[in-house]
Amino acid sequence: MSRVLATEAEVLALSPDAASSKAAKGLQSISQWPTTGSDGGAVWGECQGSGSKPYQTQVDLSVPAFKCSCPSRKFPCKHGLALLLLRAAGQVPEGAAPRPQWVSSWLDGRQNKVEQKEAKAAAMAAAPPPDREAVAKQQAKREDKRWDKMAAGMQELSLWMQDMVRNGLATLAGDSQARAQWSNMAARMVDAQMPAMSTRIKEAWQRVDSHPAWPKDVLVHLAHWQLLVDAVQHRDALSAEVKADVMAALGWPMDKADVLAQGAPVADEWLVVGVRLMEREGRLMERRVWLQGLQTGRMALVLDYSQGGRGFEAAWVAGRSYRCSLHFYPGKAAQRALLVHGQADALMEQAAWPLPTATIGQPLQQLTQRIAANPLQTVQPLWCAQARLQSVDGQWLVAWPASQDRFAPVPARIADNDAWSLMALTGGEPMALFGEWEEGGWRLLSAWQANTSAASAPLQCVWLNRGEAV
Amino acid sequence: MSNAQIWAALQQSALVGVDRLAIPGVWLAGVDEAAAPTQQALQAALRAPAQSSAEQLLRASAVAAVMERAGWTPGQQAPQEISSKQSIAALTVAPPLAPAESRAAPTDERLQTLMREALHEGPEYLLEPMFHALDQAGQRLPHGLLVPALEQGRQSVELRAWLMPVLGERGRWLGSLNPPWRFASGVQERADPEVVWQEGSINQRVDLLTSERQTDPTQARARLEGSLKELSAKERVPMVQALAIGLAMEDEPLLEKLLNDRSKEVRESAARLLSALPDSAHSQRIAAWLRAMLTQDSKGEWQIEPPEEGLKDWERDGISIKPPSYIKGVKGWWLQQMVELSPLTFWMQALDKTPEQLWEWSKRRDWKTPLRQGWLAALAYQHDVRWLPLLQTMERDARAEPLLPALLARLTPAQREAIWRVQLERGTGRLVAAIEHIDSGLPVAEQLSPALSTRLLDVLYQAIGGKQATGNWYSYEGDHALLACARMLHVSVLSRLSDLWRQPRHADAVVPDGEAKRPLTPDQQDKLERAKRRPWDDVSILVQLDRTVDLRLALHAALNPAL
Repeated sequence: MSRVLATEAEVLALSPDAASSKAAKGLQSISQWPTTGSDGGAVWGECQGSGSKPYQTQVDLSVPAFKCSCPSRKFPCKHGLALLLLRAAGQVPEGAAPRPQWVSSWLDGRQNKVEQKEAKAAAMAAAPPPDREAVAKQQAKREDKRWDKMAAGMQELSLWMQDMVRNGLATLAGDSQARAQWSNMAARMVDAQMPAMSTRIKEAWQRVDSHPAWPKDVLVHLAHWQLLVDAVQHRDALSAEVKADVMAALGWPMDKADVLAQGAPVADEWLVVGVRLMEREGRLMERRVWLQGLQTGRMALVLDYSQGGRGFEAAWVAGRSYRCSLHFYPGKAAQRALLVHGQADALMEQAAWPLPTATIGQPLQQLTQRIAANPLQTVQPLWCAQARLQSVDGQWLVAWPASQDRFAPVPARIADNDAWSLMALTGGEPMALFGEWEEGGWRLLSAWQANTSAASAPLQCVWLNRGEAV
Repeated sequence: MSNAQIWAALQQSALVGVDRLAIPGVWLAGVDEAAAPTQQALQAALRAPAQSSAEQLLRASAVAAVMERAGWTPGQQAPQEISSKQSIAALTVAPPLAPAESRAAPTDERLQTLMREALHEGPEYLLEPMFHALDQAGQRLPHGLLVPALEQGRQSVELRAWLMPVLGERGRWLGSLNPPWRFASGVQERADPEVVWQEGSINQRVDLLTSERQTDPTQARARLEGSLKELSAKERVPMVQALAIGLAMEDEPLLEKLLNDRSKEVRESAARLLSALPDSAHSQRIAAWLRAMLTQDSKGEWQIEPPEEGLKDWERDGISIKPPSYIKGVKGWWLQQMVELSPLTFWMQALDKTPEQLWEWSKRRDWKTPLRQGWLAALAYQHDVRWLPLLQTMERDARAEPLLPALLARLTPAQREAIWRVQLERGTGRLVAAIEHIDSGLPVAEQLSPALSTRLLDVLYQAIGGKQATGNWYSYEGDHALLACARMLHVSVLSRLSDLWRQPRHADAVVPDGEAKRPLTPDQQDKLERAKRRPWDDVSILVQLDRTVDLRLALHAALNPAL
């Protein structure tokens, strides 16, 4: 069997949501599949569904691409996933039978499309290059227009914030109109082409009157927006890197092609130290993959989206490492990165390498430097070596080693069940923890421990926050 | 003047409104060049040209907030959610570590996956045998499975007895940390019985008495006797009934005393227990009264006739003289009560008959119903296995059914299996019922012998291995019976069992020409379809079957490395 998608974890990483993973696991009995087969490039099978005619399921392993005759809107559907799970479990015969007609016609069709696309690209390349100057001019004009629009929006936001501070934040708690005003302002930010600003306003509203110290929280949010107001106003004075940070913070994403065109890619062994899935509005799933570079010591964040249950392009499996090159988005203390095009296949062929203890380094110092370089990024990656977990009055705390035998408490965001699993696995022994640090709280994403007690022994992953993905 | 003071003032001002509480002028006056660079930055932000004092405040807050974030160190401020100072103090020292394990745990990954599925998704009946198998092999649960296992234990008290031995040190340690899992920490088990007896709930006290009866019946009796005066009638009933465990002649004096209890229920319970002691004075008195009713006719056949008048003495021994209004014949009613309280041995000795012969004899008696009802009621307390063959022949009698498990539990496995083998041979049509019988009589976490398993599987193949099933297999009972097979059959035949649904199914046979000409009626068609259906055509049953077989095989392979 080829090594592509050969384990359950790799297959499930392609799943659009937890429900699909569960449904696929329910179809894992070979008796539900009257026929199955595979060769080097594809897997196929017929699955007995509720109807009289079995569903025809097929997977092109080179991409991977899925096709199934079932009516599900999920992509890939449970049948596709189940077929790959069966294959991972060694239950699908390989090379035993030739591809049935329905499989070969689909694969040939795909191949034709690829060839057509290539021919078209070749034709494009052969055509005389457009006037570079004119194109650049047009683009600069478009960008100026957007900046003006954003600046106007920010001015509106600024006046609104000043009003709030003038009247006092305390009045927000009892103001029946406040909610409408906040959501109106969030909508105005979308109009001004600053979607990330809109999200921030909506999130900040959740803070109002939510706990005793909420006015400070809200002020910290407003202050953060003030930074952006000033940055947009002085945009012409900003360096290219800071400008890129401001754009990212406002939700003006850079074109992927531009990211790939800029600078040299960073090659490393990238260890997936955390994966977080978040549901956004309109059936949109956001996936944040945190990668620790084992050689460079760099931290990278690969952010991608899956719309309407369509699954993610690349199957990053938490706890595994990948030898590949990443292109970083521009910015100071840049973290967001893109996988160099065409390397998605390479993602599937790596093992889990241990994490050298030294990689963790001085996490607090790194945190300070990152925030100082780019104060606009609110979510920061954070490691802690030799940490312990403790439940006090029903709240989970990380006991951060402070000095000899003394610990400082850091509130941890972790599901009760996950925290107890971690306790069960470690027995209270110190471990390395990784998570997203935000507003003084720490959302834990993974835990690591050495197999031996030697101080410099490399760390193995003992726990991963699977969120709702599995 | 420090950064913290400025930041606090900014917050205060923003809270009540900068128009009402202005930023102190002294900070706006000028930058103190001797101050720390951070403070200079903060003041510079305050003094920068702005549209309003509100904007000044926001801009300075921005600087302060970034500095606060960049300079964050763990433990700087106490987490808001934790109120008590004591908890914070406790935090600054290292949390306790779990003790080292003394038992090994299975390491096989596939087995762990199967165990995890069983814990998360059931079926629940798999858990007890699973824990039992681990314990038998001297092993414990892997650490990764402790959380779901403890959660199951929290929800099911019955499961705890099986779970406790395989929790290991780590599981007990977790139990000491998480209050809902306290049952696992071993605190309850070590609790002083005197404390439980004095302060426990009624359930805990009955549990204590029950377990003490198993190990030290005399002490348990003494404990109950000593406390009788303080107990209410409601409490006395289950406690007196607990004496059924380890019942012996030593208990007679107390039971005899309880025949005079104020509570009717206690009196009845005591009388029933005494009837299970054939040598007790109570049993002798009942036997004497019955003997007086028995006569032998000229042919030597026994006749029975209850007296016309009830005796006052009967009442004390648990026989009511005045019947409730719905009872018609008072004599029959007296007789039935007396038979219920008679030792079954008395009948077999006095009439010199086997249970089957007694049953036959009663058939031609005027008092057939009181006799038979009385014997069956007596069996519920006396568990006399000599009556088992008779009950087996009464298979479809609703009265016999519930008596069987308790009687079967008194037999050795070989004796039980001999009975079940007979039931298996009654034909494939009655196989579902036979499996149900076996299932209800087999103790939890035990399996059938290889020999009986093979035989059962042979019959099962005859019933459903072919195209048409014999018996009602497409039904709730059918599902239940097949799942019971997966649970009970000896591990050596399990893979053959799973071949039933794992072997590829044959395509429908070609219908012979003669039949094809005559189309089936919808009813016949329906029946044919149903005869083709099998329990595993239901996906949820299939999943349970697979999981049961796979888990048992994997457990067996991992825990018996010699094989």
